[in-house]
Amino acid sequence: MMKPNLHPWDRILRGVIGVVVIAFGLFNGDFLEEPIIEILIIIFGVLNLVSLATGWCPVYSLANIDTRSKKP
Amino acid sequence: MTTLFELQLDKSLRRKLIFICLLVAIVISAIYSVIAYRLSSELGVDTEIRFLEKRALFLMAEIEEEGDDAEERVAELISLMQTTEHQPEELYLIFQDNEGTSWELNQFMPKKTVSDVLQQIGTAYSADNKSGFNRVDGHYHIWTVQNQPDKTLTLVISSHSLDQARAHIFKRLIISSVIVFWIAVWLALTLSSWIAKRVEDKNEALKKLATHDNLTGLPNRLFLADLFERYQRKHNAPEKGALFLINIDKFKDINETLGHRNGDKLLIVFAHRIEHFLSKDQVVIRTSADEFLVWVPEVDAENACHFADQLIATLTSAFQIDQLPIQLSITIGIALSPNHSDEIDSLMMFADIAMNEARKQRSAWSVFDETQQIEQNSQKTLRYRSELTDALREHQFKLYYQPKVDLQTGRIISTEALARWHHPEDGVVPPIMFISIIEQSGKIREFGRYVIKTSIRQLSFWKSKGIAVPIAVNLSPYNLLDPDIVTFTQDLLKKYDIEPKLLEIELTETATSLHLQTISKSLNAFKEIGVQLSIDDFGTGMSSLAYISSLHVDTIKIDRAFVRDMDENERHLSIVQTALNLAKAFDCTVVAEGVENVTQANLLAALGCHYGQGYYYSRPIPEEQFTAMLQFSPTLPVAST
Repeated sequence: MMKPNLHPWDRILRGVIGVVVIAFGLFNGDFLEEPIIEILIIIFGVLNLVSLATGWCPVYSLANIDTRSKKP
Repeated sequence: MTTLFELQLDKSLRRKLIFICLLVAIVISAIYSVIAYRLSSELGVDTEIRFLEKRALFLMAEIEEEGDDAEERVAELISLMQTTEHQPEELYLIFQDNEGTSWELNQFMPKKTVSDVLQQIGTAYSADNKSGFNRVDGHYHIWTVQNQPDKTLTLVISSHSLDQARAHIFKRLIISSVIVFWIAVWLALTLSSWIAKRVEDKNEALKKLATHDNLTGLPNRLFLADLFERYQRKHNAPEKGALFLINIDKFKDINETLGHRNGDKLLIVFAHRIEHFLSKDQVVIRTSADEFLVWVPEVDAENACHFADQLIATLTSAFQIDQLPIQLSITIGIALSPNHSDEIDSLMMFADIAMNEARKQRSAWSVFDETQQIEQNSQKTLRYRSELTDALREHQFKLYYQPKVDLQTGRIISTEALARWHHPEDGVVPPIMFISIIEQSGKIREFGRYVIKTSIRQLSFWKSKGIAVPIAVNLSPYNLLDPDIVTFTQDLLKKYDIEPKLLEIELTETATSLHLQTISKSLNAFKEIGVQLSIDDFGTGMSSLAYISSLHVDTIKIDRAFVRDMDENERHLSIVQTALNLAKAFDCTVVAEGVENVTQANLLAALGCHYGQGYYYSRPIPEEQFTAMLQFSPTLPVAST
């Protein structure tokens, strides 16, 4: 089930997005002023980091997408 | 034939679904953002206006109280209010009363802005609309006009907080829209692939159902048609190969003897054995109860024959069903692609023709022979099959009569009724072209009754003319399975007041003839009511002696094959003699069929044969001619002349 389905570039992109988004969620100061949005952004970032760590994206897996192997 | 291409999954289905899901997500996000933005900014503006109105009312009250010092008091109050703000706001105030007093107060608001705002207030102000907001010089300005009967106060402020609130709402909406959009993309991907997968699964199941046989799990005709079509589409040329039609001989008997459950078991084992015998690129399909088709690509005629031999060797070794060894006999028809045809339907038809040919030749297999131009005939067969119902309804079948003659006296002693199809397009069609079609079509009972009824009417007609010549009708063994055939005949005989002995049933023994026991009940019943029985084509059938010994037939008719050349062929002469002896022993009369010349007639008479029938006397002729013959020349040339 947890068969990696992410291409290295896909993982790196997710890593960058994850770090940036979490940092923004945590350290935006008074910019957002909305805890719900901050929490959502942090969840989004964490999920991206999970994908980076495992090389597996649950949505790709459900949608039968695989950027890792050549075959679509 | 319907192809399975309609069932193939549309590759763009998923893309379309993703696109639609995303589009819906974008539209929903946009609508949600616009509505949320408008709603919250309206709320903000509303709150600010109420606040401004309250301030204006408060100032108005102060002006009322202070009287002449009002201007200073108001300036003081306003500067007091300003100290609570982080940033001093731009403010403009103008007071007028009926006594002509007018003063204004301007804090940081440019003159031009003031005149612009006042101008806009002039157009927007009405009794119902005492407050509002305008955008001037890139800033929002809120205004309110407070009237009392004798004085008017107009207050305008530049609203930084409204701009701030809008920017704030906008920021949140943008971020939450991004998040909503991200979730929508998730959903679009998941939903589209889930739907596409389900459709694909259903299609697969449907395809399997449509292209496979339930009992054996083998593919069916549709599958093969699909295979052919795929190949032709892919290679743009017909596939080379051979189609083998395998028929299990007398499977019906097996079903009847062993029961349908074991019959089914046998079919499954049979199917598996074929499957095991075939290599990967060869396909076996089941077309009907006891018929299988095997498609072998890339073989020529010679290899096909070799393959058929191997197939027969494999399939004729015993099958074990419930510890009972069962030996099957099979017949194979072979058609080659593209030599014979490149269309699957035609190939199946040709294989079928070849299979029937093999049966006729008592051979295990046969390759379709193009030179015989059978195709034309089989197309005709198909056409005839479709026209059968109309033909029966419209009485297109006519009875022709051929006399049976006393060899000694030349007198017509009886006649055989032979069916001819007066086809509206093809003219008179001989029985060989339509009897088997009728037998296969399920119309045989109707046809048999039609023949009996016509014959009895004919007898009645002749009776009215004072003629009493028996008519022999040919019945298929299948007619004798009709449980009411005897009652039907008896009722008609009574109705037309015809003596039963004037009707004779001629029974043809065919290779596929049914069990003697199953039809003997009907035959005995016919005998009981007084109808005569005769065996047609004696000597060529499979169980002639069994028939005669158990059925007590009145007449046996020696087949034309023996009569035709008995003056030259010693063996055939012996058969004729044997038949005559046999008839004597069983105490029945003998009719020799196919008497074509005087030599044969003389020889038969000399051998002690009673009656003859054949072209020497008369060919089968239509009813009117035959009636005339009976009336005007009931005596035909005798043997000795």
